[in-house]
Amino acid sequence: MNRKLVFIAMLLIPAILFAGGKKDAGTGAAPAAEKPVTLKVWESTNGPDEFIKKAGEAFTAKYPNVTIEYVNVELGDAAGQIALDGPAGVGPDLFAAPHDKLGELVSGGHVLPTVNADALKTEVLGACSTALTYSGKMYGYPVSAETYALFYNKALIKESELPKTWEDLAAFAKKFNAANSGKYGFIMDVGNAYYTIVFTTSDGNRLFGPSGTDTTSTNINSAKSVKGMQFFQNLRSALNVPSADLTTSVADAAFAAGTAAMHITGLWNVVPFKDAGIDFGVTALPSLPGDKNPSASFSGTRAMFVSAYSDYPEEAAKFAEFLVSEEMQQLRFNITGALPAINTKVDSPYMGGFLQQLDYAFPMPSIPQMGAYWEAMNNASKNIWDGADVQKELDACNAAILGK
Amino acid sequence: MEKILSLDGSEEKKITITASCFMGLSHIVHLKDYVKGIFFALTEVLFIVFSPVIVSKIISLITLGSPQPDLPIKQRSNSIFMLIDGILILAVIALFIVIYVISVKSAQERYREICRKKSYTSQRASITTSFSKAFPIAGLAPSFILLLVFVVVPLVFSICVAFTNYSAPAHIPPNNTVDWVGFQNFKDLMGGQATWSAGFARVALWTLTWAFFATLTCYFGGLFIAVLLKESKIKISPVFRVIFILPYAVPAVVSMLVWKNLLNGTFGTVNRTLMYFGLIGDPIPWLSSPLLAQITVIIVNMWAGFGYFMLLTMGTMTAVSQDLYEAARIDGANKFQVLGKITLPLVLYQTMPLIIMSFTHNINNFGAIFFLTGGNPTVVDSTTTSAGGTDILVTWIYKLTITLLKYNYASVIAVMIFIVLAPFAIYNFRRTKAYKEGEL
Amino acid sequence: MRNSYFMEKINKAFIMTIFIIVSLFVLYPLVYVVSAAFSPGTGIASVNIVPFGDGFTAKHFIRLFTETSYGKWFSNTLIIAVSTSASTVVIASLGAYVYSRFKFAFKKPMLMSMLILQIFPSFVGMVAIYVILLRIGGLDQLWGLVLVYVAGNIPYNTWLVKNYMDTVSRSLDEAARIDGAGHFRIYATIILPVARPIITFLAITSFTAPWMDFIFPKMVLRSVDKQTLALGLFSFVTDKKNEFTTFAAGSLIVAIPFIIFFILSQKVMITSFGGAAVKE
Repeated sequence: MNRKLVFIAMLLIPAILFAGGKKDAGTGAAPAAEKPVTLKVWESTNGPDEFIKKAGEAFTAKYPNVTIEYVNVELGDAAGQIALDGPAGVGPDLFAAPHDKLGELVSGGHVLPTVNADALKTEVLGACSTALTYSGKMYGYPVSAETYALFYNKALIKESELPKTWEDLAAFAKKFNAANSGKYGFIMDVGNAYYTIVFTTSDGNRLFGPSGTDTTSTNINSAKSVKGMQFFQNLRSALNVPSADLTTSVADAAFAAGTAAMHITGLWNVVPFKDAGIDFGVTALPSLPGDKNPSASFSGTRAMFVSAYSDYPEEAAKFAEFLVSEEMQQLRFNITGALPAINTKVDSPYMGGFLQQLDYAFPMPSIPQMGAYWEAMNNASKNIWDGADVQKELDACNAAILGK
Repeated sequence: MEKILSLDGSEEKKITITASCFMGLSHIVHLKDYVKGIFFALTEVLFIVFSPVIVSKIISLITLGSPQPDLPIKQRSNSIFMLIDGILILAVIALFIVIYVISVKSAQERYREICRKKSYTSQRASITTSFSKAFPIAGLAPSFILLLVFVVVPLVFSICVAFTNYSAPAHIPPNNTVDWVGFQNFKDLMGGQATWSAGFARVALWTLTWAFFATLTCYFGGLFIAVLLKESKIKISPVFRVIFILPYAVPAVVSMLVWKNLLNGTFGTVNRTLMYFGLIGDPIPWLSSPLLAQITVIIVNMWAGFGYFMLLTMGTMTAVSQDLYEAARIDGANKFQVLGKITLPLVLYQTMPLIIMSFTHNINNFGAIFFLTGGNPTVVDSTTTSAGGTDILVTWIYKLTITLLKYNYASVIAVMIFIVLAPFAIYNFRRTKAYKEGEL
Repeated sequence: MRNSYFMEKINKAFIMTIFIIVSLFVLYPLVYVVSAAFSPGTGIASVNIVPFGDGFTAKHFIRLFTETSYGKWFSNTLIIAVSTSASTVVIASLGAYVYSRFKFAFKKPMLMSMLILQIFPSFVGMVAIYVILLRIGGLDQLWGLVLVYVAGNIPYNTWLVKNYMDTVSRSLDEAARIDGAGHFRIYATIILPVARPIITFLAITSFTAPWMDFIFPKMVLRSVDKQTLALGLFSFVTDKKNEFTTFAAGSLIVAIPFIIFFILSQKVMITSFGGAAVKE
């Protein structure tokens, strides 16, 4: 009995392989709008998931034939995952991604252009719609804007002492460290290209040029940038920790534990720091030597993109537009604390600082070359922080970004 | 139409030819072996039915599709899917050929058997002997097919990718096509830039060093403890045995994350405790100095791995025949001599293949490095190559694949690892007793 | 006489000291895992330098079972581990038996290539596995993941079991054959029981491997109800989310049955591990 079964099984396996080989991903036409439709939406956990679910319920109340299904794919993973899941037919109809992935998404052909782009542009913040425009066309629907700013622990530093320039900050930190052993006047995630970019932005120097679209020069090794990064290197004396020890989680934890007086981080930490019991404030970043205005940080727009592989692009676009409405933006703020992408008033003691910084922030470039920026600049920042030759590092960084 | 076959063995050639023309033909026509013949014939029919699909997939494999900017993206052909499908079809063809060869051989054997017995076998007898003969095939079939589909095909795919330009930003399907580029990637990585070649050499050298020391420390650490446990007369040694096996029982990822935080030079508990007790003045850069980080990684890996070898060597030691010990004792050997001249050499010899297995495993030991250091700290060439001070080849490949989406470069490195390591494995295999004695 | 008694005492004390030092080294991080799992903070840096210094709370454990799908993750992973272990045992031992007892063409190259296949690090190959699973409908299915794991287990383990079976005397086979047993019967009723130590080793190692694997589940599984422990727990320790204490609690729940199992089956493990070595 057993032997026969084994033999038969062996026969069936090639059959399965054959059958499987013929099963190509079918391309069904989108059904009529009144049929029941389920939209798969990718978003991160820890806030946005609740928002999507609630927004989904509200949407279904308006359009009873559409249900929203939330799937957890983190913001940072979505752009990479859509490349495989989309063609495979298991992708979403709508997914969240940061705007700097736009170039990658468009050149990969994974997203559809925004429907009613002109109407949308009048509703959302100008920075957001610019961020989502690539080669003159707009893609995606902005749901929140963000930047990072200077957090300060009110128990450790008075508002009057808040530094307006980086030099003042360094001086304060050195004095503070000397007076309070075991504590830090200033802490930041030094190996993270998301933050260290501010040191390269002196006097209008911007990554990939003023509009962020110059694919031939990164400006990361320009004279202004080198000067700024040298200042960054000197900051080491105000925060004497090697880069390998100063990771994001360590820096966040230090501020949350009340060990650091100042920290550079973003909105997502507002709730965790509040929960940790820190009485803190948010203000704009200090300015670089020679500049009058706060140093330019990256601003990011989080957008919902309609997948090019979706079977229901129209319904997906409608839901995305719904998410940009005033009601939903307020809801999102209440749940996640994120800055709305539209012009609406939100109630928060910390908003002031972020909005202030947002005036000086510049959107992350979204050209495809941006993908190479992160890894290269992360490593260069770490090496520079640990004392390497600034010019050499930035030259290598530039070469790595532009593709050897 | 029944041909009368002469049963004196002279028509073997005819049988072979008929069997080769069409599977099962000679079974049905000459050998009166209907069941088997029909089975083989059906397989060939199935294959022929699917042959248009097969041919088209092979063509796609060669061309890897062409850009079709007019079609909406859902309907465009996907170069990578084509590549994979093509390789799968090659595997299916290989399988088909194997079955074909089996059918021909079966026809030949059946003929010889008939000649010997001077009569045709009944259907039932034929089926019974078939099942018996089929056992080795059936036994191997699941492994063979699983390996073919899930190991060989991905491997061939990986090697193929090394000869394409599948990478971000310009060659990610389905919007773009991927093309064959021959040896271009190899040239880039090896000749190209000095930094890349230097980086590659550095990472390769460290990978070998790491694997060597990791295996060494785990093995001898475990052996040392095993000997102590066995020889000592401490009554509570089973308690210690349990304690020592704990790192092996706790999931590695958890322990690595904890170690990572404990060993953080500035904020970690280890340094803070040491400084609290005044044992050190400045924090020890466990994970931030390249050299020290490498040593730390080896030590932490030993923490996690010695338990396994402790159990292994303990088991081997208990399996050593008591007669040897008796003989030694009669000859007047003391404990140390017995240990050094009998136990240890025996244990070493018997576990040698496992040691070598462990070495090759450590060469590709992703988890031990990635979760502890992530490849950090960065070194001079990190900005260009993305390889950190503790990165071994596999973690570097991971970064290249997942973060930078440079699948083609990652594949080139993988191919090179394989070329270097394969001779080791072949050599090791040849040296095993069973192979040498030909008694495989 | 007195000398050697004294020597023995020193010997014992010396070994004892070594044991205690090694134990401290071994237990050090584990104590912190336990401490973190019960500590009230969230991030790892908020865990006190003194274990349990901040007090004791079970809130992470409660949270795991009420707010997350921990139960589902656990059961999914259990299903995967059991299936992987069972399938590996059957397929590898069957294959090993054939290699051990039969002669056929290409045997040596096949054995050798199985070993060599292990060496190739295949991250890029994962894309191929993704497409293959897509084609056979195994994407986002637990059984798809099991297939991948079993395929990965085959080379090394078949070779291992084959070596062991080689040492089992053929006379057993002969005797059974004289009694009229077919191949399968010999395999199942004679060889397998004799090879129990190595089979146990195989079952244990292929059972423990999938529990905290992250990379393959991340690629194969999609739906919320198909997530495994590794995927679920790791979501607590991403860069933006620093909930190490919950992660520690979840890992502890996994580790404890493992630890208990290891403790109880030590004797069995030692003999089976011993069987894994090449016999003379």
